[in-house]
Amino acid sequence: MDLTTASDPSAGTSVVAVDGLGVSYEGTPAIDRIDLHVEPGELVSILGPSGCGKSTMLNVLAGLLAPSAGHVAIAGVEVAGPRGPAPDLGYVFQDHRLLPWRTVRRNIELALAAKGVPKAEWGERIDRYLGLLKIDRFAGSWPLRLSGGQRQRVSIARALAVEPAMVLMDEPLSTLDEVTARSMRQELLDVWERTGATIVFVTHSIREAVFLSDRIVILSQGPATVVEDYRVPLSRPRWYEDPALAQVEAEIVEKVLDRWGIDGTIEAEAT
Amino acid sequence: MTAPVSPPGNRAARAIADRDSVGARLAHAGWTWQLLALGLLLLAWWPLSISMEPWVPTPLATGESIVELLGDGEFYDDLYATSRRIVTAFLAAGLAGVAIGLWMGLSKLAEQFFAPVVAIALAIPDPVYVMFAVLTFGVGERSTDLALVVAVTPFVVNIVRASVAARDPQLDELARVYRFGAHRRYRDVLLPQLVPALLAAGRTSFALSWKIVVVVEGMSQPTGIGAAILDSFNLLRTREVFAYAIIFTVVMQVVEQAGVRLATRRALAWRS
Repeated sequence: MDLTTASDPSAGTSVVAVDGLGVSYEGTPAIDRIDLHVEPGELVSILGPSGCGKSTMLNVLAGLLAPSAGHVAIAGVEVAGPRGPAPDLGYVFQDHRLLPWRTVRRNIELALAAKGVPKAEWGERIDRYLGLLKIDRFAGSWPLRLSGGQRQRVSIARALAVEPAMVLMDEPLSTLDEVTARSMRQELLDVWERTGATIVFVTHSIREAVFLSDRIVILSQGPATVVEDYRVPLSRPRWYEDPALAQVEAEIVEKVLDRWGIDGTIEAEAT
Repeated sequence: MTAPVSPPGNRAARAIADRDSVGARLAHAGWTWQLLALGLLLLAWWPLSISMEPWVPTPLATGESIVELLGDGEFYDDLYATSRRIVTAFLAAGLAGVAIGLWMGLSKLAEQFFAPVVAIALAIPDPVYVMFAVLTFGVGERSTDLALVVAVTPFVVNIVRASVAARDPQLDELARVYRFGAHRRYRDVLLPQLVPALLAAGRTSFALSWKIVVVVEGMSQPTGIGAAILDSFNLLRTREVFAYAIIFTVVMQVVEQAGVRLATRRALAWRS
């Protein structure tokens, strides 16, 4: 897979290469045009209003949906829907999406088996990633016995354990209570720094995006286009309550207000 | 300073506490209520047997018959013949029902094709199956088994189909994203979701099998509990009819309860 990346000139060094992506369902456009490149080790957030076509884009990246126009490649391999080759990614869903009838360990084993990881490596890998997320003591537990935060940790450990070219996270902290979500955000950054993983993080929380990301790709209302590819001007480590972070947040809110508000509540109030 | 509690209030409170604990203990011992229900049934039977004499036997006469039957070798032959038919029907109808139910749940085409067939099959009275089986294969084991399987299968199909259709689509998405492959998708994602329905289907098909087998045997067989009941009825030995029915019911209940409990505990451990 590394060879393909190196020898494919069109892919360059980007882990994720989305060029001129367009998707329409039976003639109705869901995504107008998206260009997006993510470099190895980057943490990039995708920020968009609900209904802008974020899920459609995720479905394309995950290989569940073929693009109607343009090209998408992950680690140099063209992603072409369910019939194409499996994209090399880990996926963290909004909910934990664990099979309740399999223990934590056996849930992760299922992903490793599907990925073709040799059985001899399973034990060590699972222990390592559960340890990284500080839940190694729950390896033998049933998912339903864990708290919401612990389940989501397992889900993140599963996505990392397949050691993919990139991890796709679809609002993974949005169902957690605020306190749990905060500590998870911090830990996600720690894990990211320690593993050097490439992460594409979808969120509708501007503060969360600013806190986590190197770059924020701001999408328009559906059918989506890229409004701005914004580099977060803050050094790390960051602090969630930092006034500088709040200022960046305010700046982004400014940017998106007129873009997202066009036929939303803001205009409704103006007329 | 301790406020003196008035004795009557205290007593009332204690009475309530006592009643609660007795109620709690009774509810805990679920079999207490089951015994009570059985006792009431017996109590209703007694006056009925006296007023309908001699057509409804007394509990005592029935008890004597039960003891007689249990000491008689022929009874065990009948019980064996009937049990064998039940097991055959249970397994065959289970396999066919799960297969067709899965197919219908997963494929729109299969759903459209089988839905009217199942609806009709459910509506046809069981004796009609027996008659057609006998007309086709003549009197014998083959027609008995066939009639049973055809009568029970649609119920299993219905339960399995509904539960496949009600599966969690989010887990399907998980399987697609991580590319689990067909084998793991069925075995590890779909099948465990169906377990509660499969247990229900097992119970239903077992209960139906033993209810229908008696009718089928009465109509088409020289052996089995159903045939024995019909014989006793023709000879107006109603106490024997009752005795057969009671023993058979007890045996089937024991088998069902034991089987279901065991299967439930093993298959649904993750829920506790």
